[in-house]
Order: sequence, then structure tokens, then C-alpha cells
Amino acid sequence: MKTKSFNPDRDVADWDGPTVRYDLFKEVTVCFVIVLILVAALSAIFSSPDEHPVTVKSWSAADPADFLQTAIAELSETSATGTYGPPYTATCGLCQKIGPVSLESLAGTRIAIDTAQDFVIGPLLTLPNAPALDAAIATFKAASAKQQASWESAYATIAASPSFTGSNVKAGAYGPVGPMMSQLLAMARSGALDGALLASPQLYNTNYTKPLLFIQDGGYLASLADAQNLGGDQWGMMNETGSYPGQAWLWLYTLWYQVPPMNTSSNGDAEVWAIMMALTLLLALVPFIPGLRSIPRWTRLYRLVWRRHYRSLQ
Amino acid sequence: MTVTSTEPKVAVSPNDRPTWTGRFRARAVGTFPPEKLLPDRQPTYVASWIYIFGALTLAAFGVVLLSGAVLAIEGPAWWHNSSVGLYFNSAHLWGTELFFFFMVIHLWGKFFMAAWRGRRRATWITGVLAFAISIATAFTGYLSQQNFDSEWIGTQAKDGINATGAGAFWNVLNFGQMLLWHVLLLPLIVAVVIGVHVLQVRRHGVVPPFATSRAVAAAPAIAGPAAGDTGFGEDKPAVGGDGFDLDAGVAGDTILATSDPGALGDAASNTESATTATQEGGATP
Amino acid sequence: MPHILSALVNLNHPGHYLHWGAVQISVANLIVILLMLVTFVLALVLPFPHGKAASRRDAKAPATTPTGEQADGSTEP
Repeated sequence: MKTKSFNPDRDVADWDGPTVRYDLFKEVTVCFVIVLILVAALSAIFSSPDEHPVTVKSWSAADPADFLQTAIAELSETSATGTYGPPYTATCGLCQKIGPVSLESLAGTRIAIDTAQDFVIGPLLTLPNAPALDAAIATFKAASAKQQASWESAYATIAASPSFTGSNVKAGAYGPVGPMMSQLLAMARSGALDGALLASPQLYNTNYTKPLLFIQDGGYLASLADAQNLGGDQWGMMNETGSYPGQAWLWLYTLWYQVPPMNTSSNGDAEVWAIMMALTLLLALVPFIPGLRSIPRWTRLYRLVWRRHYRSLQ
Repeated sequence: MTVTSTEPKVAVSPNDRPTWTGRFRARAVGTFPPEKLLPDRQPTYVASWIYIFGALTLAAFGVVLLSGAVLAIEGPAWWHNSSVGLYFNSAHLWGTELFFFFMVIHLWGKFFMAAWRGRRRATWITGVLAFAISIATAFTGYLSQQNFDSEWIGTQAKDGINATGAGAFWNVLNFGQMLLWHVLLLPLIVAVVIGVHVLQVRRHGVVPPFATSRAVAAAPAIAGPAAGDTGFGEDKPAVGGDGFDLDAGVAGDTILATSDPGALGDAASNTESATTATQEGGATP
Repeated sequence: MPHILSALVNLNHPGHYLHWGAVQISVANLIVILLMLVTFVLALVLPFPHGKAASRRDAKAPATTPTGEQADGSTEP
């Protein structure tokens, strides 16, 4: 048989020594009962958080200015989703890369979103008995891209002004975009836009991509999240709403988002994922890595674990 | 010491070709004889509270599965409108918090015991795998809450996942997809990985303590697995293991310090550790 | 029934966060992490109940497997 040298960080001889009576089933049962009691108690004492989600309806009521600023960005396809790139749109606004490779682009546009059609025009066309609106939409669609952009830009400018509330739209060169936006706001406030965004040709739908992308394109959701320290630059990945403990095990993942260069990089997400994949691999391969696998022997914490055994050798 | 075969003789009639079933049974029973699969004895060095954290993690996993099953009985919207539902949601959440609590302490303990030693690398790797996949499972759970938290988590996490290209196939904003991954696919994968992990522990036993220098200096070279064995291979007993006389060892932490090839039995390289062992003054029984 | 099952301690209020330079952590998470560290240390230092140790001879008593391996995984010399 081939022999090799003994490495204390890799090898250990099989145990040839004394044993004691041990009850595996009893240990597992006792542990189960302990955990059951702990969980039952923690649940009774602390319960769990359940904050109501933001809907397009609640958003448009709470912050109509932000809603309309987002809506015009969706129509002009300049919103975060509109310029995202794969998997939502074909054109890479900011396709993240590691070096020269953009895995995002390679995967392709498999969840195609046309923000103008899906978030604005499509839902507006579902409104019944609205001939003026239908005419405005027809006018918009028939206009040239340059004309559309001009109307959108004018509306976006007025919507961005600090005094804009959504209901105080001054007269301007918005063309049909003005009435489209005000109808969209009314639709949002009634709850009909939530429904339209989720509508499916086959009735049943469990895919919330459209309403969620629309909502997160605005600033309202993020402002609520920041108020609860859930933001990406607030170690938010670890946190939970309210005063509940969150996901402490994500500390290392979120740490990288707080430090340069990832915290300001446009490829930040890709970079952090790459780092975490590498570190996870490193953890899995500790047994093979000299130095790293020697840390237990160097730190000597094992002396506490096996102190009875070492005493028995004397 | 003789090298014993781990393969029992397969009881087949001389005229029968071995069946898949028979071969699998022989291999399974050979690798996991009943006394190994369900032991009622354990080495004396297993004498620390740190050893219960694996079982506590498993117990928490069980509570998570049970509370999750109750939530599944009534469907994903139940807990928003029912206080009983909210209670079981809380049980599911706190079970998960305890699951990670115990798992990480288990990881810390196993790291500082260098529990991968002695062909236990597969045990370590499956443990890390279980950790990583559990994180993904918890993540899909957070996505399935259908509340503000899941809204925020989904819309934020999509950027990270999209950056890897996986977002085109695994849509965190698709509640139906994420719920099915959470309730079926990921728990199944976690359970299988945990199963392999536990079977590895049963197969190789709990890792023995670091040996002391005097004992190792007396041991011949360990006839370990063939080159290329990554610890995933068959359980082969070490030749010369009875020379590894732990009872003759000295209390203390003077571990064999060298990992040079052929260093075993080399007095020169063991000089420092031998000297220290003498100073410690232990007597050889 | 609903009252019996509602929380005794209401955590549904804005959390408290501690800041050290770039590090920001919720009090709840900090408590969890500290509890983990304390639990780990206690697990290492708290005395473990003594079991009755068998002699080596008893450990090699004939409860052997067909392969000759012991219940504890050791092999016959």
C-alpha cells in the first residue's frame, strides 16, 4: 500500500480507544424538544413582522409627484427598468461586468419589459368609456419619436419641479402626454392600475414582475426602506423591518457593498457576487488549503473541546 | 494489524449474476453496518457541549419544516389574516433564526476541531454546501412573504442576481416561481445534502483529537488512501493505526509540527516537539 | 383566541441602530451575534457530564460488524 507522510492538519489516525454509552435517538429527541420549546416561546413573546406592502394605489396616494415622475420616465423608457438591459430590455444601459465578461448580457432578454407599453399605454387602454383618452393615446402613438420625446421631456421637467404635487400641472407643451399622465394617476389611485399590471390573459397570475418593477422605479419604496435601515448602503441586507433580528448570516455579503470600490462601482453587484462565490469556495476547500487548515492547530481552541481526553492521557 | 475488507460477501447463488439491488445492498451495508448507522457507543473524547450543535441544527430544521408544512396547509396568504397563521409564521421565522444560530456555532466548533481531518473532507464540504443552500432557501422564504419586506428584498436582490445572468432564469419577482423553489425544490436539496453530511459522519465517526507529539513520533507512516483520493472515496482503515498510541501521549498541545514528506519517525524534525514533551513530564504508561 | 396568540413584546416599532464608522448594526442583530458568541464560549467551557468509560477491552467486545469494524469506527488490530 502506498504510504504518505502524516500531516496533522489533514490526517488523523482512526480511534482505537475506549468508548462510552451513547444514545443517538435520545440526543436528537431532547434537542428537538428544546428547540420546539424555544421556538414556541419566541413566537409567543415576539411574534413576527408583517408590514403592508406598497401598492401602486398606496404609492400614488402617498406621493403622487413621485408616481408621476416615475410614470413619465416609464413612458419615455428612461426609468431604471427602461434602461436596465438584460433580462428586461435588449439595450444595455448598465450591463454589469466582471472584467470583459457580462454574464447578464449572455443570458439575454428573457423577461422582456416594454415600460411604455406595459406600464402606461397598455393599462390606460383597458379603461372603458374613455374616448378622449383613447384619442390622446392614438395621437401619441402616431407621432414621431422626436415629437414624443419633446412632449415627454416637457412633462418630465414640470414633474421634477419641487412644487409639483401631481394635481397642479401647469399648462404646457405636453400634447397628449398630459391627459395620459393624469388619467394614469386616477387609475392608480382607484387601484385599477394594480390590477391592470397584474392582469393575465389566462386569468391566473402569480408573477408580480411588472407591478414590482414599476414601484421600485420610483423613489417612494426606497424612502420607506431607508427609513427602516434596509438600504443597500445601510447594511440593509442584514436587517428586518421594525426591531426584529434579521439575517445576521448575511453580514459578509452586505459588508462588501459598504466598502470601496464596490460601494461606488457601477459593476458593484457583479463584483460582490464574484467575491462571495470565491469566499464560499474557499470555505468549502479549507481542508485542502495549507495555512488556512492549520488555523485550528495554531489557535489551540481544541484544547478546551478535548481537555478531558488530554487529561486522561496523563 | 491486518487490513480488513469493508465489503461483506454478497450472498448469491453461484449461478446468479449479481443484481443492481444486491450490489447496492452489499455496498450500503458494507459502508453503513447497523452499528455504525445507529451507534449506541461513542469515543470518550466526545465530551463537550459543542458536540450537540449539529443535532440542535437538525432539530431546528425539523421545526422549520413542520411549521412550514402548517403554513402550506392553509396557503401563502393565510398568515396575513389569521392570528393562528401569524403564530405559525412566527414559528417558521424563529425556527429559521435558531437554525442559522445553531448551524454557525456548529461550523465554528467544527472548524476549530479541524473536523475535516482523516478522510472527512466530504463531511466538511457537504456542511458548507448545506450552509450556502440554506441561505438560498431562507432567501426564497423572505421573498414569499407577500409584504413590504419581500417587496424590498426582491426588488433589491434582483440586481445582484441579474448581474450573474441567473436572473433571466430565476426571477425573484415571480412569486409563484420563488414559492415553489422555497417550498419544494430547495428544502429537498437541503435535506439531501444534510442527509449525505450526516451519513458521512456516521461513516467516518466523529473526528479524533489532535494527537500529541510523543504518540506521533512513535507511529509509523500512515498508509493512507492512494494518491488522488480526495476524501470522497471508500473508507479504508489506516495501517499502523495501533502504533498511534494515544494512551501513551502527553497532555498538552505539542502537536507534530512538521508536514515534510518522510518526516515521520525522523527524530531530527521531531526534536523540538520531543523536547517539549519531555519538559511537560508526562509518563508513558 | 387572537389575544392569546398576539405578541407579548411588540417589536413592530422602528429599530435602534448602532454606528461605528462604516459599520451599522441593529440592536436586535447585535444581541443575536453576542448570544452566539456567548453560547459558543459556554459550549466550550461548561463541564460535560461524565459518562462511564468502558475499558478498551469492552470497546472491542464482539458487537462487531461483518466487516470487522467497531461500532465506533475503529478497526480490529
